[in-house]
Amino acid sequence: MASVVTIESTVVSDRELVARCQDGNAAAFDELVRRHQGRAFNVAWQLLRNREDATEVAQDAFVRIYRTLAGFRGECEFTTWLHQIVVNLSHNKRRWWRCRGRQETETFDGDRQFAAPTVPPDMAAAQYEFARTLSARIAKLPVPYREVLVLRNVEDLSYEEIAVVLKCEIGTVKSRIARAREALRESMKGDGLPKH
Amino acid sequence: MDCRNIKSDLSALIDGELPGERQAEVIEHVDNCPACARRVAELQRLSAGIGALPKSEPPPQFLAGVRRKLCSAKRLEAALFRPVWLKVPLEALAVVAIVLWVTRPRPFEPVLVMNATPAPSREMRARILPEEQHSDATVASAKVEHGDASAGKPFIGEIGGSSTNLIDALRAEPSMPVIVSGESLVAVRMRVTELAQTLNGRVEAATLSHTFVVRLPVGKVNEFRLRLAQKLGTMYAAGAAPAVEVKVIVEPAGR
Repeated sequence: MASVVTIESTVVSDRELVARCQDGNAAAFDELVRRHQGRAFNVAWQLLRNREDATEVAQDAFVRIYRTLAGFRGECEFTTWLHQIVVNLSHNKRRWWRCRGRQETETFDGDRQFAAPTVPPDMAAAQYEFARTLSARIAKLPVPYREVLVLRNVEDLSYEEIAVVLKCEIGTVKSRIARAREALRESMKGDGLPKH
Repeated sequence: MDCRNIKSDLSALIDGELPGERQAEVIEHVDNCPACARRVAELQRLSAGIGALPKSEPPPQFLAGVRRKLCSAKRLEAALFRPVWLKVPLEALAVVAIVLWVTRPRPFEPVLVMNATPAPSREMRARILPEEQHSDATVASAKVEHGDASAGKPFIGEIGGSSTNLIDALRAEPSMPVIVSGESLVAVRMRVTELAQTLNGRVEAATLSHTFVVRLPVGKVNEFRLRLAQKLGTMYAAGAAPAVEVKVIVEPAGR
């Protein structure tokens, strides 16, 4: 009978999984990928707005992690490291686009999920429209603004963690987030913010 | 407290990232300032809106894709780094290919404006070139250009036995760069090196560069330039079609 290796993701911490990977445990690496693929993909998608490229960047991030895992000493959280790599690879991808004169393309991915069934239809429509507009406005922000907003409001990272990911000072993160929100607020003025 | 001074603090306030004392000050201000209170409420709604944006899910075959990429990377690594008996010759071959590609004969950058001046008429050629060098091929390959940057006017001449105008111009303007044409970079470089060595100088520059820097003993600079023009003129008068143009910058030694 074939032996099956299962790892309880709720019990084993990222740090423990990383240690197991460093010992050559392939199942531990698979678990790390399963656990964080959504996060990696979502950040890449928010920054690139293209599913295909986001998938490639997120997968490449895990490949890079696998290849450099031996040197990871745990100075920061695994997720911070992952974010750092995804952001860097997204930069590279954008640079690659620019070199080839490719325009940014945006796809809104919220058709299925945003309107919860418990919300009255008129409210759901308003929320959907707001999400759609907000998503489009975020996509138009300069990349540094978009990055900090995604890391702060989508990934829920602290200013300190964002500073580590972007390799900058906390003060820079603070002012960049403030400017990004101000720019977004200005751009949303005509569309109105929801009252709830 | 001035509203303008706490603009960036309002954003940090809703993130709970203000230090205790500053947070108390800002909260107190917001409690007493309707405009800032409104701004805080808007920022909160925006932040909540961003956080509630639908998350995009990775494709179901995501992990399989990562595994596939890892396998390809490993295969590539194996091909590149093992075995050594294959790796070394392949790398050497790659280096040779790169060197050959970079040093391939190619036209000089358009900044030289080779065709800015029409070729001289046959009568003119007869005046500036010896009688036996009148073929079209000879004229095409026997050009020397030099530009006067300060005057903003390029001078294009042809060297031959009687091209005294050019030699005079070079003599009168010691800082003027000499630009010569030849059938290959290697041939021109060889002639330049040979001449520099005759005058106890040397050629400095990367092997693959199209720009030669010639270091010469003080007092030999002008002689070098004039002899270069004459030497390369003779070379191209042989009838080879030009494939490359090389700019020769002459600087006094020890600079």
